[in-house]
Amino acid sequence: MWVTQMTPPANDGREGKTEVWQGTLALMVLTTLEALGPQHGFGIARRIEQTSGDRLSVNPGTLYPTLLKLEQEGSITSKWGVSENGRRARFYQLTRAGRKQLADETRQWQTTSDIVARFLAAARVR
Amino acid sequence: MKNIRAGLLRLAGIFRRTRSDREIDEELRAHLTLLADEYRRAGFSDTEAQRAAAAKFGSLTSVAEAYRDRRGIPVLEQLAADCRYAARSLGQTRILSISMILVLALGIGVTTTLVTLFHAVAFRTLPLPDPDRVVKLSLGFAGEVNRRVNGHVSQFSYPELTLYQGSTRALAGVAGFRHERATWFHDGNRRSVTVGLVTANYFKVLQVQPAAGRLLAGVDRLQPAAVISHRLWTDTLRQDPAVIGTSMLIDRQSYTVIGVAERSFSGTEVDTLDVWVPLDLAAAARGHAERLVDSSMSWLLVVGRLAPGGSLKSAVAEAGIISARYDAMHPGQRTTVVVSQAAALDAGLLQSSDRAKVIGVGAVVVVLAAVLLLICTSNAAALLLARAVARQREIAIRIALGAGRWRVVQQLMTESALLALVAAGVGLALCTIVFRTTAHLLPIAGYFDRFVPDVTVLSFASLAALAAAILFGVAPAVYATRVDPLAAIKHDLKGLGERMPGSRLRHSLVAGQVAISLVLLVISGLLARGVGHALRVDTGFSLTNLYAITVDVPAGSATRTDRANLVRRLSLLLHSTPGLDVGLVVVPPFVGAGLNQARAAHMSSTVQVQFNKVDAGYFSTLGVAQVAGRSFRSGDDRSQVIVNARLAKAFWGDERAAIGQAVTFLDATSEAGAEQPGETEMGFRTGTVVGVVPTLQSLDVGVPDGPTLYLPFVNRDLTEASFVVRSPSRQPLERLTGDLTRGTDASTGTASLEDRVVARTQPARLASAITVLVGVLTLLVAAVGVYGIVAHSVGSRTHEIGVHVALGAPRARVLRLVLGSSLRAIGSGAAFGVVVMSIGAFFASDALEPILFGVGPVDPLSLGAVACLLALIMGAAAYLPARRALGVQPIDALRRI
Repeated sequence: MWVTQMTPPANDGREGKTEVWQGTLALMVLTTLEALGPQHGFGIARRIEQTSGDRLSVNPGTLYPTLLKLEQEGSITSKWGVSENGRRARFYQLTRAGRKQLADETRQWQTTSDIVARFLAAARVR
Repeated sequence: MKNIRAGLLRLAGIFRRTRSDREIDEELRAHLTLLADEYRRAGFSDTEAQRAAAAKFGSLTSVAEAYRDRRGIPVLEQLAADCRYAARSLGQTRILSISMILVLALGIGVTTTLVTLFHAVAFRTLPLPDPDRVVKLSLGFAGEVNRRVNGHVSQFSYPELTLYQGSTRALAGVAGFRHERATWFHDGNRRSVTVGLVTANYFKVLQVQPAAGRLLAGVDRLQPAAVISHRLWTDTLRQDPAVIGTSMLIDRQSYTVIGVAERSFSGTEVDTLDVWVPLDLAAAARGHAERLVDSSMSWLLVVGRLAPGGSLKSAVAEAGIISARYDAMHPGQRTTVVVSQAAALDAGLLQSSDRAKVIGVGAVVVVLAAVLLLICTSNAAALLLARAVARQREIAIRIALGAGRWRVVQQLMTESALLALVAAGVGLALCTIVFRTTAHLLPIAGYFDRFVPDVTVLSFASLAALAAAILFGVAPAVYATRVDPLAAIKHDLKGLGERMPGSRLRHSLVAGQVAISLVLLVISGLLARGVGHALRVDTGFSLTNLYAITVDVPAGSATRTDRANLVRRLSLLLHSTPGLDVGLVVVPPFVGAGLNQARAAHMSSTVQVQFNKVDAGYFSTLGVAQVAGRSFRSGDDRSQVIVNARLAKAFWGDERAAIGQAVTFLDATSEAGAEQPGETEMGFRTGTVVGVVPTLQSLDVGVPDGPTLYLPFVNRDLTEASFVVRSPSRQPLERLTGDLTRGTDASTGTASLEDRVVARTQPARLASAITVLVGVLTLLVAAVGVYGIVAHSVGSRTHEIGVHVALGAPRARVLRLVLGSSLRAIGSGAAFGVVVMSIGAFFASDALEPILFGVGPVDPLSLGAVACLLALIMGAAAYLPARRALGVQPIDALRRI
């Protein structure tokens, strides 16, 4: 369903960091919004990077189109608000459809990763 | 579902932004600020924090672009941008744009109007299932014809109809019918209705469905059953379903309503029907039982439906066989049964020959319209080209900046499509307005109301617009993009006196236009003259103050006596009123049901003649003097006759020689005659010619009567008599007839014969007006085009003109500079048009002859005159804008480099 591609690693002194796969980014955004509640773009990016233990880097050029796409699909809504340190920012929030999509995708992702994990385990046993 | 929603939102995003550019920018900047805040908290200085944040964020522009791309659909956004750009750039050259829209709208509007008219007249099928399988049958006669006519001679008799019904294999069903006016007595009111007397299989053959109740079927043949039209049901009965089973009184017969016909069906003829009743019962009830057995009585229209798998061809072949059986029925007569596909508008209004003529004229008119559209588009092309030339610099810059040629063509085509679209809208509005305002002028206004406007018209207009956009957009677009950017930008200033780029194409467009308008003007002039010629009505008698009074008594058993009494009383009243000339006649001029036909003989020669019965006052009321002999006198009986000049010439070669001669004729006179004892047979009778009258035009406008025999009017003819009256005004007649019929169920009609004739010539007048209108429009369009081109060329050559003026060029030279090439183009176009027209007239005169109504081929004088007039108007259209060149101030012009 999602076009999955690797964005070329940015050569800006952040070696060792992987950029987020576009396909998985939507899922990460939805998870983050479920965990944090309403959040702005920067907050979402920061949270994803932190959760990954700073092993992922979120490119704003990928993040914002993804947020807009999710909004067009009706999974999230947005409105202007004020951040914790008093900056005006656009806040995103899960909709009911979004929660459903999150549940579906989580299940799918788990199934996929279970299967992959079994293959890897089998290979290791051999 | 999700994808559809997203797609729709993106589509909407083109027009209504979910995120404005400003909002996107603000959101991304907020992200940057928050990032910088974080660095600051980590101990960076302000400058360092901002630099680090910018480095981590990447290029704001490219992020914003990725964001924006997600907002809408790039291809459509491009189109929207093209449209916006086109609208803006068209707005900048307002005069040029308006003239282009005007020119195209005229073309599209006029063409659509004409095609609508032509389509409605020539090709519209009936609103029935499988309309192309419905056929109409009519009869043609030659040889010895004895025919009583009540309607038109081409109609069927009842025995002929039943013979056809019994013989046909090619047709699945054959139904006969007849329209009659009648009075419906409803709620104490009288309402005039049109009743269809139909055979019981009528609805089955036409495959009409009921809207309520049921329709007539075989069992109703002799039942007093009636089906009412949806319109009658809605207008006067408020769609009351309880009406079914009630009785309605039509004339003197009561019918039981059994159903309502479906809404779209109102009969197969031009006049719409209100009620349908069974023919067999109604004919008898209305006092015409004898018509059901009379095989020489033309009174029924006939429709049929092709059998499944049968073709029109097989039906035509079969008709040939059946007509031979009719000939056996009437010795000496040769019958042709004409089977033709039923159109919405035919035999009832137009006889087959007229129809061919109408289609001929219509086809010419449509060709004219197509040529007009062509002129309009070529005109728009010329204007667009002028514009493209002026925009060369802009286009060159765009190409230099990397726009692909295709991209620029696309942009230019968007402009022409936009123009065409607006023009189509304006044109369609024009067409609608023309119809709304002029439809009531047509003799069959109701017919057009039923059809206009419709899908065909709309699709035609959009197709015309599309074709126009492509036609007039492509050439200029391709031309304009064929520029060398460097040269175009560097040499913005054209070499003085050098030909403007594109001028050859533009000038040949102007020349072509002038040539086509010339041809169109000449043709439309010819057509108008031809129609005018056809309209020069010479009836042979003065129509001024001449009225026909008809007496109408509801059909029923006592009708004949009632009618005779009423006519007698009215006759006394009219004759005793001073100042009136009164004549009695069976079939008054231009009113009534047609004349009976039969053979008449003198010695061994026979001639087909038509009969009318007139009293002593008839010819003097018309103001017709005898060519020879005398008029009828009150004592004359059927042994005295008057003939018209045409009959006199046919028998005796000279009007005077006719007097005193004997003529023998079959007394195929009246139905009423059948009631008189001793005259039940169509016996031969011999009469002496006592007078000869000139050949009049009393049946068809513009058509002299055939050989006619006038019989003296006798008392028993009162049952079918009408009046001709010459009266200074209509009022005394209406007062008299009003007094006479008050309190009875009878009615009278007073018609001005002058109005009748005018009404009958209206279609021809309209056609003539349309052709002239097309010609004038062509001229107008061509003039607007030339004006626009010259105006634009003056505008874009201001600089060059300024230099000329600054260097002291005299006015004449400046004018020649601006006008010279245009005038040359106009001149050569006119010359070319004259040549084309002369050659065309030489070859096409035979083809045009039938629709020119006797107007000769093109004469050189009028052709030359039209050419000069055209050149003059075009020259004026070029001169007006060229004058602006004279007012150019050198300093202004030079400043604009």
